Amino acid sequence: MQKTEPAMMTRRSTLRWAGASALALSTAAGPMRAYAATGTDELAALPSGYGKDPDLFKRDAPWPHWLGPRRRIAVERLADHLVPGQGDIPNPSDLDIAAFFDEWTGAPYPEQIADRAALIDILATLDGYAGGDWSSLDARGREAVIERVEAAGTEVQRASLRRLTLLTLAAVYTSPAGIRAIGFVGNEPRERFGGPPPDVLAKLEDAAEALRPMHSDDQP
Amino acid sequence: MSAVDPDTDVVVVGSGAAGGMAAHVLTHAGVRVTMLEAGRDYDPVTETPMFNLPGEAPLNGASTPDKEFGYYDATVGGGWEVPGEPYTVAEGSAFRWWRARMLGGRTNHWGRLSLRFGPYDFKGRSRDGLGVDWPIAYEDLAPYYDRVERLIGVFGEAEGLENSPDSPPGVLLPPPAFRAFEEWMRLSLRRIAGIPVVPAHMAILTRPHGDRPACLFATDCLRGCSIGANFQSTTVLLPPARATGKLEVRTRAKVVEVLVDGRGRARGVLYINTATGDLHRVTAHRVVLAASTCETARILLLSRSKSHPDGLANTSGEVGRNLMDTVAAGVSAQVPQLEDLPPFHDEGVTLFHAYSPWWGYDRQRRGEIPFPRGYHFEYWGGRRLPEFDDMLLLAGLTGARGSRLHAEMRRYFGSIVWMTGRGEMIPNAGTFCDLDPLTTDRWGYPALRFHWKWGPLELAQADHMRRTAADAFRAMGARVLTDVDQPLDKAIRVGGSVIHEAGTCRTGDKAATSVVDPWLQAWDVPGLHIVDAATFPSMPDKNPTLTILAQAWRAMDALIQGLRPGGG
Repeated sequence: MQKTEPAMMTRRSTLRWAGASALALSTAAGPMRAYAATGTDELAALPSGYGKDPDLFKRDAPWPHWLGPRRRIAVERLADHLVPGQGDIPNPSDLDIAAFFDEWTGAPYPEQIADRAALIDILATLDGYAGGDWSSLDARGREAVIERVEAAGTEVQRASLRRLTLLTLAAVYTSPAGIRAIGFVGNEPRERFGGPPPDVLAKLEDAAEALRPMHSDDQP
Repeated sequence: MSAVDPDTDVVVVGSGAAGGMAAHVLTHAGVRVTMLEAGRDYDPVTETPMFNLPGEAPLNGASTPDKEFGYYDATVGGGWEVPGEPYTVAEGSAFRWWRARMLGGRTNHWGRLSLRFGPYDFKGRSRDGLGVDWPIAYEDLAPYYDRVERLIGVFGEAEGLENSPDSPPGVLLPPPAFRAFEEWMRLSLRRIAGIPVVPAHMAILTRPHGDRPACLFATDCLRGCSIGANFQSTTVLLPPARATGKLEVRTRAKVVEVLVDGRGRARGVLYINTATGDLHRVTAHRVVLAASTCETARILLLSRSKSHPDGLANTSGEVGRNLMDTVAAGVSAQVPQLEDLPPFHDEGVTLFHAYSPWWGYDRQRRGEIPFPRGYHFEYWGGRRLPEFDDMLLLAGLTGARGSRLHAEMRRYFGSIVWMTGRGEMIPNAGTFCDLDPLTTDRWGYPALRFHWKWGPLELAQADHMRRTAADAFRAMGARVLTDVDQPLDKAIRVGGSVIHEAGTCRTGDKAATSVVDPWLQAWDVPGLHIVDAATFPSMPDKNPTLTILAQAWRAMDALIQGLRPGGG
């Protein structure tokens, strides 16, 4: 993940965007179709995606970043709570998870628009349960609020927390540190491929020996 | 139009497998070729992000409506939608059409599985009374399969399988070892169900081949290959064709009409420069259509005139008809025997090392299987470079909280396996494409409209695929991740989604029931040749690209004979 200076959206444009997000979520069509269906200038100003022929060597996300400093802090603290680092795996905040979510939830695609709505909702929920700025609480206070949301929140709020957990995991494990930590070996040129090591093959052979052949009547 | 002094000898429409092979064969015979490609120029050497990590891409490389197979997928300018070039789907039908707008077309993005069609595949109707036979037999195409495999480089082994022909000794390159998940599927399926898992035949080099180096055993082939170690028209066919000095390539040139002279002979094409919107014409002694199955049909249907009111080469009424795709249904599962393996290199060639050829011929002969044609299984999985969509799926398997999530991610990494069937569709009257009466592209030309209907035999085959895979996974104690109880019409993949469209201009031995003759020249239009999968009378379970290449080579040999003095 790369650090990027946020190109802030105005409050007005954010509100327009939130409205468009709700509209897009209410349709089965993609975001561009949903925007076009309104036929208004406001919605025509919404960002576009990177298109069908982007430069694959650049990380150009043409849509604006929108989180802003306060929400970036909240996202970092939430991600660190949901997926705390361990051993050789850093905390999400050490991987600039806020930049990832800023980009992800700003993207004008249906999946990301839905995630933006989930993020907005969960941050508002945390503030609501905290009776103020959740991210300004100390670690124990933040944790207590999340536990209350998990215990007493709506099904949608719990699903949003789960979704943010999965996104954080995927972001962590597609970072160089995560790719190493998960046990991937490769992405470098090799002269030959010899297959798995002998101990792995032996383990698989032993496991296969333990299987029971399907009865012939079971076979399609 | 002057028939005496045309712009070129042959105009080839399309630059993918069919067009690339046509240009390769023709230019090496000294024929002047002008190739027209609807997309932009594309150079895999400079444009392939071979070793880029997911985090170097927007959204960590996740798939989006702009890049449906992930940010690094090689496809340029297209995917399931091409801006400004819509298609429609008739009410009650479902269809998806994958297109690329780039030099080399869809060869820059394909699975590289290169199986020869077998003797049965050419004579389906003679065997079971369904569909139509090809006008040629396996033996007619076998020498061209040999030539194609030698030219492009294919790895695999001689297995002695029924209806999956072996190549002659020395033609194929040695296959790589199986990866862990493939070795597991081989061991377990043999023991559980007697299903064979054998080396795949893949258009990927496991040894240096001519001036092309061997695979590096890293980076996803679907990104393309900057060193030319797999087959892409842009790295294997077009550079040597250009080196002859006989090939002119025009990109952003979208053909909308085949031109004929007063005697009804093809004399060239009309195309739009997609950058400017201007119309241009190229005149030639011969026209070769290789625009892909559905684009080729559209060009013919758009080439309407007083003398050809239903489109060119269509007195049989078969243009656009007999459309097929591959029958597909699959199951994914999390396999406990693949959990918690130690870290080791297991990328291999990144695409298939193994597959299961159809193993049910005996049971079909005994009437124990409710469909007449075969299917094969393909396997995906393994300890590949963690891509965002894969990691999201893996994360979904976790049930722990907090830092314990990491142990689960490590444990499950490499243990998800996809077992997907790929089977043969029988052409039917309800599946075809025609011109939409209302929708046009951005230049005003009618869009294609698709009509799609799976028959009962395809549904039975998909059901067999799904049950076989689910039962096998359950027998090994795996956690089945696919909803195997959903209705069958939802479980079968949508038509077109396997990207194996075939059959809109089929070849046959009678002008009344086919569009092109056995040498792929249009019955109605002298000088017009069609060399892509549009000409396939049937679409067996085997993937089409190798046969497209072989058929194109065979047709161009015939065309060259015709260009010579005394030829037709």
